[in-house]
Amino acid sequence: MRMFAQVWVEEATRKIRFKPDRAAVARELLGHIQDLQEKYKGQGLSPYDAEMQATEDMGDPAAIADELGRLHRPYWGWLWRLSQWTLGILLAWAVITGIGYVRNLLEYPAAEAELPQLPEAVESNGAWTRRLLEHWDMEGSVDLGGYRFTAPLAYLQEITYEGPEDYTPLQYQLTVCLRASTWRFWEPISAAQYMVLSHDAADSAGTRYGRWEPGLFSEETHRHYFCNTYGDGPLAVWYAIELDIKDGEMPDWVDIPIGYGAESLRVNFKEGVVEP
Amino acid sequence: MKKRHIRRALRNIGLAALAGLVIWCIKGFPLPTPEMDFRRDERQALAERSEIIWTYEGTMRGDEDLLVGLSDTAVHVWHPNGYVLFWPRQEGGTLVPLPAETRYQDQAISYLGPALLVPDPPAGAADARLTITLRENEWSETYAVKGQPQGQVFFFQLEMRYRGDAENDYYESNAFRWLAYERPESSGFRQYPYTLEFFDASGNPLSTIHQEGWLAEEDA
Repeated sequence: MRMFAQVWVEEATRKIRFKPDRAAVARELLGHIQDLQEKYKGQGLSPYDAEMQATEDMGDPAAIADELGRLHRPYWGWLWRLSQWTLGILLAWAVITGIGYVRNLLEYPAAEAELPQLPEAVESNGAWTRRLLEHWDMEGSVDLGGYRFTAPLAYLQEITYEGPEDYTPLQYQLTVCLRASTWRFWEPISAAQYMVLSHDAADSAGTRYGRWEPGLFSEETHRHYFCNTYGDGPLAVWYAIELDIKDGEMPDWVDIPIGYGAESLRVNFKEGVVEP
Repeated sequence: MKKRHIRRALRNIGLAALAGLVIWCIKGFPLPTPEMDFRRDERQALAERSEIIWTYEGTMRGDEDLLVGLSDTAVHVWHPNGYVLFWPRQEGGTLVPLPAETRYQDQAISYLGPALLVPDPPAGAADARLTITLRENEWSETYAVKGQPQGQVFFFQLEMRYRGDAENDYYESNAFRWLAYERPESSGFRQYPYTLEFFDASGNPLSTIHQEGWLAEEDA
């Protein structure tokens, strides 16, 4: 069929429904027609006759349209287009959200995380003096609820008070530092102090340690027990647990309940391990 | 051309997923439903998985959704701010204050007010009555509330009495607010004097729970 090249191409590609595909195929077909045109011009035909002959050589555009429509289904193109829009919207949202987040960080910078450390051999703060007697770095780990607990630091201090207030002049404080970590960044463990303080701890000598509070535990039945918590990035929390050790006599182990369920772990000072 | 579209679509989908992940991280890892949030909070607290026995959906803008679960040892109350309160269970029924106000109807207008729940009433309890005294500085007021059975729980809605009375309204509003702020770890809720009575289907008394609270300190 003899017709102008542009008309032929439009006819042959009309059944390709996805516009970018139609344009790409049209460009390719036009290229073929132009190659044929050059060939016929080289044989002495006029540009008009060369174009007509070239389109006739290309064949029936209606039949080709059917074939091209069958070969170039629009669905994959639409999928690509949808993915472009989705990516564009999410990228824009991420940029806007990120700008707000960074601006907030700059306006209110997070304080440098203070993590538990081994104290100095002697620390003095006016009337209070703390002497480091012993320290441990426990081996092993315990998995509780998908969180990995280690006890990288524990230490015993002698605390003396020389001041006007009526405090007990000599105490022995054991501090056990537990570190709970997870790879599940979307649900780090709770950093609430009552993860530890809601239950009482017990040691190998049968002594019980509990938070002195109405509804919890009393000093008649439990020795002093406290917990400070420290965030260690998005994946870990430290629990620094303080136990008042009677007369400085270290127990072989201490069982520390963690969380609001029935989970607990044992810090075994004799073996130097933390175990279930 | 099909292969090129598929390749580019997959690339875009991968990048979109990454952008979505960044947004999800920045927004604080929100989950689609309160129940999923509740379960995550339980896992983060190493708590045993409870049975969800009561839910509340806020009906107006600004209302909070609430969820309460029951385990062997505790009542798990989900706070809309993203954590769970664990109230130790008590013999005969555990009275817990809800951490957000619930909506009630007073003639043609609805209001928000504090509410309490007993998720584990004694067997056979068909009716319940709560008498509780709230205090704000020198002001105090006693509220007698009939329990609404909702599934296996008894729900007690406190309603404001002093709307229009500026001074008493002020104290009552504060007292209502403090009730919702109470936490199991603090001794605050143990200070509220209350009497919780349960009745069977015939109206006969089943059991009574009494907390002296700050009245005991006054008597001492």
